[in-house]
Amino acid sequence: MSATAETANPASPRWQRLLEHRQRLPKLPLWAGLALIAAGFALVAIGVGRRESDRSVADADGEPDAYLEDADVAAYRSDGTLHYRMQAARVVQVQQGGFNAQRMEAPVVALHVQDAPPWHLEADAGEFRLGPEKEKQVVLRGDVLLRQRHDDGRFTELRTAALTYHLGRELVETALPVMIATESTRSEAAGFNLDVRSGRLQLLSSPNKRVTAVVEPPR
Amino acid sequence: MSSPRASQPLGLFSRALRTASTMRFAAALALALWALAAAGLPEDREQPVVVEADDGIYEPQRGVSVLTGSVRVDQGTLRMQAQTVTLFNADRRLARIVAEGRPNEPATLRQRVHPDEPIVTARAGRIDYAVAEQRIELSGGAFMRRGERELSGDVIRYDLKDGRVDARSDQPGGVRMKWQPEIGRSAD
Repeated sequence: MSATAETANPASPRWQRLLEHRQRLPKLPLWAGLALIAAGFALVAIGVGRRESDRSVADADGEPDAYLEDADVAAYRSDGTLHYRMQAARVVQVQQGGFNAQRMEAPVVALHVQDAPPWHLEADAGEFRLGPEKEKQVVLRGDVLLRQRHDDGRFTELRTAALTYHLGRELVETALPVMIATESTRSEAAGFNLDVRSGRLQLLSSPNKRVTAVVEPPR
Repeated sequence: MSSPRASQPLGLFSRALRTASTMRFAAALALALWALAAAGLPEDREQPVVVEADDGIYEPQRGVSVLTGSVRVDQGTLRMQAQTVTLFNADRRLARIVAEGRPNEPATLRQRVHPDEPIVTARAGRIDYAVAEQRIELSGGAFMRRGERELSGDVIRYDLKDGRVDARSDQPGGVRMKWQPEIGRSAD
């Protein structure tokens, strides 16, 4: 029997195999198509994800977008008087909620007041940022020193681990332990707030730590 | 230390009584016997003043610190307790300590004047301690006790250097003294 005759005979085994094969044929493109569609979705998803990832890197909060070395910034009040002067060895500007926050290394800040010497602030690190009430703040951390010296020898020095300066209210505060030294007194407290304009310093206690002051007697 | 009158020396009991009799609303007593043993330990005045409080406000421009909330002031054996204590600086030194109580809770003071003597205790609405001068003025329901001796008046002044005590009142008979005989006692 020739091959043609065999193929032409629907009852032949080969014909049967062909029929079975043809019945299977339509299923192959469907599976392939589904696979292709799935692959396409996967590729699209990966691509979109990559683009989203790229975008988030570019616009992420906290990513540096500017650097300054030996920064020196002066700010003035609305009445034209010098408010503060801020210097830092290095400043990194970052985006934080649409605000340009600055992270400072070794910042030194001078808070100027009328009719009194300026208050000087030093710390290992600092940050100029927007606070919860959209108030501009300077947060200083690491071996923070706040000091005011008078020409006649009087002085006030406060040491703490971190503090916040609220620029609008001209208020310095911390809820961390603080050591205070003046020309005649050594004090400790659980926290403090300082009204820079008046020089009024409030020492705070906590359930574990009361305000203590040791005053040298007159000699 | 608002009274312009100077403290009287030892034993002028009679003079104080004459003052009381001639001035209708004033009386004064100089309590000589308090002076015999009421001076604070000399090392107290050389000790640092230690203050403890719930809250404190320091105003460098005025040289004033105000401490509030169960305030305790210690200098050697001298201890004052009050609701509010104000420290006044002058010439970069602590000049005055003013302790103030509140209604029904006067400021209090205690000091061991001599290792072998009973402690002096006192209370008043206001206790004004001139640190450099070593003088204390109690005013507003002032009361002082040493052992069994008691003294009360509108104002009591207490000199820590020599133990001299001076009391006065704006009301006749407003100065009261309670004195226990010391017959048969070796000390106080």
